[in-house]
Amino acid sequence: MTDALLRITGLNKSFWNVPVLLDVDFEVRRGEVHALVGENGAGKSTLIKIICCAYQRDSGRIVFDGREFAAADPGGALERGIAVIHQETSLIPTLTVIENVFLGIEPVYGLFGVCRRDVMRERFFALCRRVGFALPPDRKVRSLGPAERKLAEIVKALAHDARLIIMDEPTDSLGGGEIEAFFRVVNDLKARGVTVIYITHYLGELFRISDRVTVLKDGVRVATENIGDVTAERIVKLMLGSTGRGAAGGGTEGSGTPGKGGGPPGGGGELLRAEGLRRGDAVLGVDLTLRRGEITGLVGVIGSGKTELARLLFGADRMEAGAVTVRGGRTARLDPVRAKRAGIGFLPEDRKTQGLIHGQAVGRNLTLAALDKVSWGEILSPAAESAACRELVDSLSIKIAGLGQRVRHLSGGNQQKVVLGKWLFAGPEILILDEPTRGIDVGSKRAIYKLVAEIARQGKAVLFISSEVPEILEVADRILVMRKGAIAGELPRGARQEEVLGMMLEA
Amino acid sequence: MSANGGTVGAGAFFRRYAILIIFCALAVVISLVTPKFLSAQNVMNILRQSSIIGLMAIGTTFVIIGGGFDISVGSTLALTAAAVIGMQAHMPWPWAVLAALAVGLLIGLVNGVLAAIVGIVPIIATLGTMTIVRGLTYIYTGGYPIVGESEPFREIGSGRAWIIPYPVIFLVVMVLFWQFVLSRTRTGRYVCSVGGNKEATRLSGVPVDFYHILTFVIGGLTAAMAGVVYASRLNSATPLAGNGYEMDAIASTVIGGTSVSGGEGSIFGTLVGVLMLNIVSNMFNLWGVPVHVQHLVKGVIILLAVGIDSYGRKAERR
Repeated sequence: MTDALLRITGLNKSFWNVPVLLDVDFEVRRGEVHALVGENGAGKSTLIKIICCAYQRDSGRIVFDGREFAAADPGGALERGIAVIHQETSLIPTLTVIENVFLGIEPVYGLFGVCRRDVMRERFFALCRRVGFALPPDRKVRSLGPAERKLAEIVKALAHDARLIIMDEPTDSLGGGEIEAFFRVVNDLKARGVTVIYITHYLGELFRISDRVTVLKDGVRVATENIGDVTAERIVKLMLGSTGRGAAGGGTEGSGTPGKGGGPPGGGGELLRAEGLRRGDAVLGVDLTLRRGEITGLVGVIGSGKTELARLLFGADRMEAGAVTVRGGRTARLDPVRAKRAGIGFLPEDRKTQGLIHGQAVGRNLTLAALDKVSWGEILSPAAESAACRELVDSLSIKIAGLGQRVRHLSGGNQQKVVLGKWLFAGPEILILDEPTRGIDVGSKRAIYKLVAEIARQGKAVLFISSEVPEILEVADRILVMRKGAIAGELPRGARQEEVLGMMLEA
Repeated sequence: MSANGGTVGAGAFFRRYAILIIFCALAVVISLVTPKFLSAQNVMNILRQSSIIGLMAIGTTFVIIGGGFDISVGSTLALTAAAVIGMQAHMPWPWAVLAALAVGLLIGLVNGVLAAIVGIVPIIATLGTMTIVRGLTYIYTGGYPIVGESEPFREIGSGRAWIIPYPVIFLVVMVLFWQFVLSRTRTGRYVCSVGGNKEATRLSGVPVDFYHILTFVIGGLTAAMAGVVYASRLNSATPLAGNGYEMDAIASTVIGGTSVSGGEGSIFGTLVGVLMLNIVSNMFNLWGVPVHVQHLVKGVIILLAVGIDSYGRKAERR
């Protein structure tokens, strides 16, 4: 037995009887960088949340640093010596670096808890020396760049005496030069005996810094290997599995596969053309064309800029450069009102905060984008409105108790159908769907695929955005792959899953 | 409103009409213990007293449903009351009334632009305009009460049709009109949507800033209507007029079931809220209870009404 800092055996977890983790064994050795990879939904985040005690496990043992975690053990991860650095920073932006680092563990004098600033500073600089980089202690976190924030989080983790640091997609918010610097820091940490679990979508990164890699697929640990013993191709194969899912790409011949009948790719007329779209670090000059009767798939890992691109196409955010031509009209200043008038519909990434008015009735949500269709001038026609709503609810088979039911009480799948129904009712020529199947059940997913195929068959243009490759392979007539703010390439329908993943992950 | 109807259980029914039920129960109890309460004269008195806050609270309801907050309406009442009397020196009274309404509209527009375009938190934006407008009122009146000359103008506030005072008729018409706007027009629907989730509404291609500003404009306009009725009834205006009325308007709105976080509410509910606060004061007046005790009870009513509602919502979310 080697010296394990964390050892998990026989871990099981399910949500509503759907197993998410199946009998997982996972071991992290003291002082190693252990990479954790897998597709979306493979169970990575659930595993991490269980390690942090944010979720309770159904069964299994967790031994950390020689102590066993009881099943229902209260207290946060940090108190146990585990720090998680999320994609989004968890620092408080209005406090200074040093205040953040010692938040909750400030050294104090006596009864009233006066902070001992001298002691804090001494410890802070000692920690900085230990990891080998300098941070400005009195700068507000708000004013730091993303790279410095990551470093501040690392120092905070060490100040809290963390023995294990979990990094969740740490390079997503970093630029090229910053990534190099960040790798140096991680390697330094390793040299100084800090243990790291490193979650990433970019296979290139894991060969640079990790010692071992564990691959999860559908909640099962399929392999743990020394990094020297594997290749990127092998990891992709392990992530996809050798059987079953690979067939999705060959589904073009299947009679029941939706998405067919929309005409041959490239056959329809052009409805939307985007040229040189650019915004911040997220979208770095994208050209794109959407055609009549065609489902264009846009795939990329989280953080590749897909969502930002979608928002530019609908005018939800201002483009900094570039122009969009919709049905002949060209503009560099698009906003949602103009976009809708030009015939664009947009299903946003987060249905809860952007797609729906949660506290309001299903009916009101369904007609929001096209109230003019159920009113005479300013005055609404309740009869026309409920007739229209009933028709939408039936045709989309949305399961509700009544049109007056608030959307808050619906399941994710039904909520998403409401958002989709809202745009179907508005009847746009171009439909942009950002992660339309995220967090919904398999049945609703099927229904949405079918619906999207039907929309394309009616001669509309669809941009279907997803981070799940099998889904894109099944739905799209052609596939655009996005990576780090740019279109990395285009693949035809029937492309192999390995090709797409390879392009996404720069492997 | 059928898209909003659907199935309503007994619990939901009670929650929906809780304020109305409590109001009716209260009215019955008061009329039993206070014989004078139900006399025609007293009822008309209550209604007339309710008309000024009632008009103002219509606008407040729109603002709160739209997700905003407006504490400048008391000052707006003072300035428009002073304006409608002061301007009668230069023009016939109907023109003065229109001018006063325009002033209210303009103040609302400024509030709306500050909140929706500049992005100041509404309560702070209107705190600023509240102070400025009060200052303008002092400047305009020179710090003294000003008295009106026109007899026909006085009729607005003190005249009656048969036994019903004009302000009451005016209030009823306005309540019906604005309730119609709120529940049966696109404008009303968009106002609710903006208050419910501004971002989701924006991403549905609705010009959200326009509707957000519009709620403040309605707030300013109805405050000006209240100002005109106020000036006419007293046939004078003082720089301190309407001080604290914004709080009564907000209290009536939330007692009437409008969600403080925006998105839903009704003008009818607000009217019930206004009447509720007024019958309680009326009862105390008939009993000869001192004014400071009235404040106490009013505060308790506000907390009770909003407390029951908020707690119910919290339970619903769980």
